[in-house]
Amino acid sequence: MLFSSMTFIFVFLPIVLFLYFIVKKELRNTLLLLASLVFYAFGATKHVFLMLAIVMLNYVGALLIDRFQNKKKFLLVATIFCNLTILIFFKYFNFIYDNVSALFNLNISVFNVFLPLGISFYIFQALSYVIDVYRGEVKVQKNLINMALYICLFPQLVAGPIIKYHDIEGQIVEREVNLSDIAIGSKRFIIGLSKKVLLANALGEIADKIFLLDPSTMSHSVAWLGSIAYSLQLFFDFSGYSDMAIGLGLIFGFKFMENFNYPYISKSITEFWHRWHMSLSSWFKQYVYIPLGGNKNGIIKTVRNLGIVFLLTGIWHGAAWNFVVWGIWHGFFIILEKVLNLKEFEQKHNILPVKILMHIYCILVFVSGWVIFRAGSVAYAFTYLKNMFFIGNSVPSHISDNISYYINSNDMFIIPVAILCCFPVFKNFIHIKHPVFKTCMNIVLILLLIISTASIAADTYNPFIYFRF
Amino acid sequence: MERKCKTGIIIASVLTLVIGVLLYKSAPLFDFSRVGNIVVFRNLSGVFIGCLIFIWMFAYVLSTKAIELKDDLDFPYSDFIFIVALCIMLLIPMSHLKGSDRSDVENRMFNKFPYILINNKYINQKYGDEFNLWFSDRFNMRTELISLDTSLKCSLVKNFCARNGVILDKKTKVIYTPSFFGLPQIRKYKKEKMAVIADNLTRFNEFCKSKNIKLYLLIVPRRYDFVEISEAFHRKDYGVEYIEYFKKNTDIDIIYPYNELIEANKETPVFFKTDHHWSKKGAYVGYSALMEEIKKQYPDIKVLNEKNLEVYYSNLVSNSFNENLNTGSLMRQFGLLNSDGAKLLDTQYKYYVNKEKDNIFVNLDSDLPDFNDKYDFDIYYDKGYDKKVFVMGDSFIWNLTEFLASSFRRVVVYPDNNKQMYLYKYEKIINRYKPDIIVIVMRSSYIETLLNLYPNKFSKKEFK
Repeated sequence: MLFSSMTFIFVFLPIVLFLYFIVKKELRNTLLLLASLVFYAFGATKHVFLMLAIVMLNYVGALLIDRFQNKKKFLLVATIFCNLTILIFFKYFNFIYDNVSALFNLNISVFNVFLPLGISFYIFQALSYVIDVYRGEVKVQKNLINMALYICLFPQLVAGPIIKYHDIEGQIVEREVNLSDIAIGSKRFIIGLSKKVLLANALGEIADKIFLLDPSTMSHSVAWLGSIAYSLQLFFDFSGYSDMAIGLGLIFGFKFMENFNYPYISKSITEFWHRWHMSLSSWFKQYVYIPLGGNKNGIIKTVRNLGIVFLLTGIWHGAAWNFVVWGIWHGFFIILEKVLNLKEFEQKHNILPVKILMHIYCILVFVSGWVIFRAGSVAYAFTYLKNMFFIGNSVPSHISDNISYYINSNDMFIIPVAILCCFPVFKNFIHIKHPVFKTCMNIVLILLLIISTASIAADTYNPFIYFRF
Repeated sequence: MERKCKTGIIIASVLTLVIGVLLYKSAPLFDFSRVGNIVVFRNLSGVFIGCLIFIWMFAYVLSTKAIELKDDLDFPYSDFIFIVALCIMLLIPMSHLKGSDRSDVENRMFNKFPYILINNKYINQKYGDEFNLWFSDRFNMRTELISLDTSLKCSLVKNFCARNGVILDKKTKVIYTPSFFGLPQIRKYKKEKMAVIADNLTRFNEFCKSKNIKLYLLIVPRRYDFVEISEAFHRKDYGVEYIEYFKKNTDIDIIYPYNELIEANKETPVFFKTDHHWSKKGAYVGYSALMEEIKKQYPDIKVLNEKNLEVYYSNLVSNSFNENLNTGSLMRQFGLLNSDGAKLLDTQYKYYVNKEKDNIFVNLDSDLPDFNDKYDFDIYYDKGYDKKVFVMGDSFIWNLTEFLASSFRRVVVYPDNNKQMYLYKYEKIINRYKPDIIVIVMRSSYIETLLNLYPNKFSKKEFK
């Protein structure tokens, strides 16, 4: 079930909210767990049992780690191995098989594995739990419902933020729901919904049209339009979803970590990763980068550790070579910035022209990165990038030459608004306490909800018209 | 009684009253009687009262909780109102679900309520998607929200508004079809295609001659020469080139009433602004031109005279023999379904009253092969000229049918609905029905459909 669907907003959410606030406190976790399973089953019925199996695996794994302290390392490795085997099988089996087949010219037909919804997110959360138990940072969760709720909690189940167990341990057992949090949570939800429905979807239409074209036949301007539209779409789509998740969490009394902090204003790729998908970055930092030694063992090992982390980041995002290349691309620039000590350079030359140049550098890197991310193949990505950067001669066809074919009058309004929203112009608007401002803000948010709902409703309009008849 | 409870009762009662009035206004029938195929409630007023009780309880619980929480915090009233408004909004779409399984506006069947189990054995893996489709087709105020979205997006633009693949010219209030959207189509192999179509027509004409059938081709000029559109959308009319070529290279009788329509359009619109078809007036002009040609062969035939017909005007669209007035296919596609949409209907179109309507019999149980009683007509008129007419072509046939039906003893209308105009489809009917006259009616932009009449190098695979 998508947050931006009529069923979620106007059927599932009101029913769950109603039940949540009328049941006794002791039953709220059970209710939320059941609601989460229904939520998941609506999108991936057959994979509910897989998710429950993962819950059981980690529940038992953590109990054993806690019980048998002398064998806890072995038990941790075994639990992580099982989790990763499941992840690799469901997410990467087809990819590995295709590549092995191509490499060895195999022609064996095997079954096709379907990717369970959100598996990367909930397995990473499960890993966080067992590792935290192993490290002794948290107490083992003996209540199966509480443990299952941590992994299955519907607001962040399918697209994050990835919640680390030690951040939420206390809230699962005991949490306060107050009206202020409900109000702020509702506002965050509406902002997220608007980002997704009003901005990301409109930008996605532009990007989709352009990325369908042969990159060697589009003009440079169209190539740039496509990459910018996609960069904006991805940000508003993902951050919108995170806003909705954080908002829903607040309504139910959970305080999830922030996932985005205006990443497109970054002046370096290092800074970008401190602002983009922060829950994933911090997960890799705490459970991969620091255990590998972090930056404590000299530059060579730091480079190695960064390389591993970004390779894994790329692979985590999807089972295709373009994601691997995208991870390497970001890793390369992170390492370069580390080696060249860009942070020190920035501090020394804290003047506007340098800041602007660094910002431009960062934009070029991440926008190019998103082209690799979006492209169906590595070859497509590089042809596209060559076109963007005027390398080689593209031969624009009559259609792909014309930028006006891809943007309509509404987009002329949407694109500037989207660019403006990439900057922290409206930051903390929902927290301002001035009564008049607050009232105006509330009215704007209600209007945004109506407009977003209208947009979702319009997508359900599907007239059958025999145009050509 | 505690202050909290008193306030809760007052708030819940006021809210229930407001929601009750809103619900009653938006959905007076309050038909919850069917959810999919399951009959849930039969007593409609009972459901309504039940819902109000539910809303009251919900509002009471929420308001007392809120007051309880508010007392503990310094909670601003604007946020309190915000939450209440949000709760009301969350309940509205669910408050009334359309019971109908069909949407006339969208011209399609609504999605059915899904079953969790398939054949009582297997779990329906697509239940979530199907439920979402079912709910998305039926929620309360759907039409209003769709129109709101269209209005908002159109208000952002000055001259042209593109929605669902069609364009509205805000100044002239004309809606265009996708053929005008974007760049001009590339007309590849135009000359070769012309020759093939001319050859097809000649072959078909020979086929007709061998069966003593007179063949006529009525080509309807394109709509864009008759409705006011921006110059930015003017395109070359390739149809004219085809017609000129056919006139030179075939001996078929071609009727292309361009000048007649231009003349008539000065008096009253011959094409609709919110639909891609010609109006009744346009169809009448086409009919007159066609009959003038037929009269050369059959001088005794009686042609309907406009002066003898009763006339009325409407700002709505009809493109059917059975006079079903609506807002127009392009308007529906565009998605303006409320009062904003009604503002577009600012043009009066001329309609005719068929005085002989009661004497015309339409056989809906025809034994003609593949007869579809929604699109095809088998019409009998005893007082008509004693010839059988078979009409094939595209949807421009329908507005013409009324006039033809009042002129001939039997008229079979058999339009093609998917560019499948290949002779094998019609041969069976022609052989069986043995018409005296065949009329092919099609718009000029549709001429290439005739490529498929006989198999050739341009034919689609399925026609070869």
